[in-house]
Amino acid sequence: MKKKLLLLIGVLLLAAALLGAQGKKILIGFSHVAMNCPYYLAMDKAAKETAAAKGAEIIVLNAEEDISKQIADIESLIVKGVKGLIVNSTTEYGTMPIIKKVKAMGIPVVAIDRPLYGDYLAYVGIDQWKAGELQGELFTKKLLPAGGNIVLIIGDPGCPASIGRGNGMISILDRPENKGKYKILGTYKASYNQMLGMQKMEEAIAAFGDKIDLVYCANDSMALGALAALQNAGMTNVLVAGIDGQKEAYAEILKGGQYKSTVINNPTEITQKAVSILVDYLTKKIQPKERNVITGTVLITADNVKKVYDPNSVF
Amino acid sequence: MKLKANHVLADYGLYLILLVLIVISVILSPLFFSYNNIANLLTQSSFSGLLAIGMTFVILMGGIDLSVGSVVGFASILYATILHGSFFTFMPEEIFIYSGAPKLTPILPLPFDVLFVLLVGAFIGLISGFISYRFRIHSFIVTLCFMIFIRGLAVSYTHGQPLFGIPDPISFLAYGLVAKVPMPTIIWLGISLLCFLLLKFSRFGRGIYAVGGGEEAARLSGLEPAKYRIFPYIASASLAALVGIMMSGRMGCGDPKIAQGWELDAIAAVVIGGTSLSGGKGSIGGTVVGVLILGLIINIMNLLEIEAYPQQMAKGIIIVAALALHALFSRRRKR
Repeated sequence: MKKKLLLLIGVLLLAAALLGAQGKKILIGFSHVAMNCPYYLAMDKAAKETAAAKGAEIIVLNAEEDISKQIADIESLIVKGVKGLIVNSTTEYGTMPIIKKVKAMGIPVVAIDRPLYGDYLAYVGIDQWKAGELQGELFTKKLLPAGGNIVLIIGDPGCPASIGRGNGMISILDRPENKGKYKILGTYKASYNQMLGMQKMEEAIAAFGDKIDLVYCANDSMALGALAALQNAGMTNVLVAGIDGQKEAYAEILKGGQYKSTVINNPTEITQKAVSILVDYLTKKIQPKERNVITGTVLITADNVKKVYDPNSVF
Repeated sequence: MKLKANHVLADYGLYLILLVLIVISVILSPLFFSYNNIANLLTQSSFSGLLAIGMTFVILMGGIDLSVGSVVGFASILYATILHGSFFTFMPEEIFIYSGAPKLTPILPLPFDVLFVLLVGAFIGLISGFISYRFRIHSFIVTLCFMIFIRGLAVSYTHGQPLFGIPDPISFLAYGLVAKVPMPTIIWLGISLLCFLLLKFSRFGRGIYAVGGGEEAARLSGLEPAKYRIFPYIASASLAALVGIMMSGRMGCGDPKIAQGWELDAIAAVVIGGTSLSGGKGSIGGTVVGVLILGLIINIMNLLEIEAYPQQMAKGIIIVAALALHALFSRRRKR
């Protein structure tokens, strides 16, 4: 019994020693909103790879879409002694007080993917509002010039990406020349998840049936789910649009079917940029050139999808 | 001699488990005993700690309150809407378009808005307690319905949109330090102490144990059960409302979607703390230790960089292990 106890203590001490003996690399933290879809997983992967390539160490914590867990995560990262922080914030405002505290400790913050309210070094991501506008322009000019009924599937009410993508599109429908021609039949929440996207689309089909002309989803995963639901119901005339530029969505657009458009938002690219900006700032004191680093935000339709489609890409 | 050791284990087994966990944590991570980490651990425990106090009363009565998480979310958004000059903000599409910081024209001055939200919380508890008592429906069902209803109400209140702009005194409740002790912890331990005294030394407290232990016997000895049956739900829901307000301060905004699943953490903490699910047996002190044990498990796993989902697995196993150990200790005592 005593021997076993001693052995156990020995193993624990060894583990502690190993943990303590990590190198003198610069340590950064990444507070990630969730890891429930290919987009977020691609960010996780890119963050770890870029940090390793840059000679930095990174801790990624998953907030599981819970703002209070995200605040606790950031507090844990501070205790771990991170020198810089990347935040993909669950809600735009919810992390504001803790970011203020982080800033006061002299730790720079880079916002990624979702805009953040507060004092940050840089935001890296797409222009969420413009992405919505691009889709709105396409709907009103090309897809449904005579007007029509739209179903909206958003990721998460209150999340800045969903707000920008949804309202950017609505702002085009609200223009004087389009007034009264378009109707939002319903707004559904599907957490950016493909399964839920399908489920919500089934609900929308049950509720509105043939009235639906177009489904606009805040990301491609949900749009692919909605597409599956429409195909199961035999509704091949209803148009589908998403955002992010997932390769499966490109493949659908390439087919020339009812999936019409998406907007490029490359998770690998934004994460690489965010990690580089933060590590360069910490190690070489390079100030980022601009506060809002906008990437992607290019509309992809059947006309230009060939140029971007790569079946072997991660995302 | 052996008998005595068993007694010690039965009475203090819980504290022993906490102590062992602390020792393990210190060995596993050199960061554990830093001021920052202890402050984190206490702050993060305080919110579920407050919910667990109310839950202790409910479970002492042989009930369960599943609605507390939803009440936290509702209180948070209700408080924020009051700050924005309205009790009522069902805004179909407009709220979805809302962006930027709105201007603040609160309808109630500072202490009264907090008081109002607490009263609404108490009222929710009154209704669920009353329905459960009057119609003899188990509180599991009643509060399950309340959990669903109130979350739905909270999210439709502003279409899921967080409302931004919480005044400094409320932020202080979440981030303030008094003599280096985090404010949430002061509130949590303060209220715990009050409730401990209430349960241990007042007539009302002894009544709760009596009615929770057996309503018929209590009635025959002249206690009016309605009072004791409904009070725990009022306490539980008003504490949840308080947590909602404090969480608003922590986030700098009201958010209707927070605290999902917190009721389960609170129940787990109470049960780990040795309160019997069949009622009539348990203590606030045990609950405080239960909350600390749960908080500690999460804290040390965060420090060890264990990822979120394996953490959940470990949490489940450790809770069962703690309960089994505790049951083992108490059974030995009976023999």
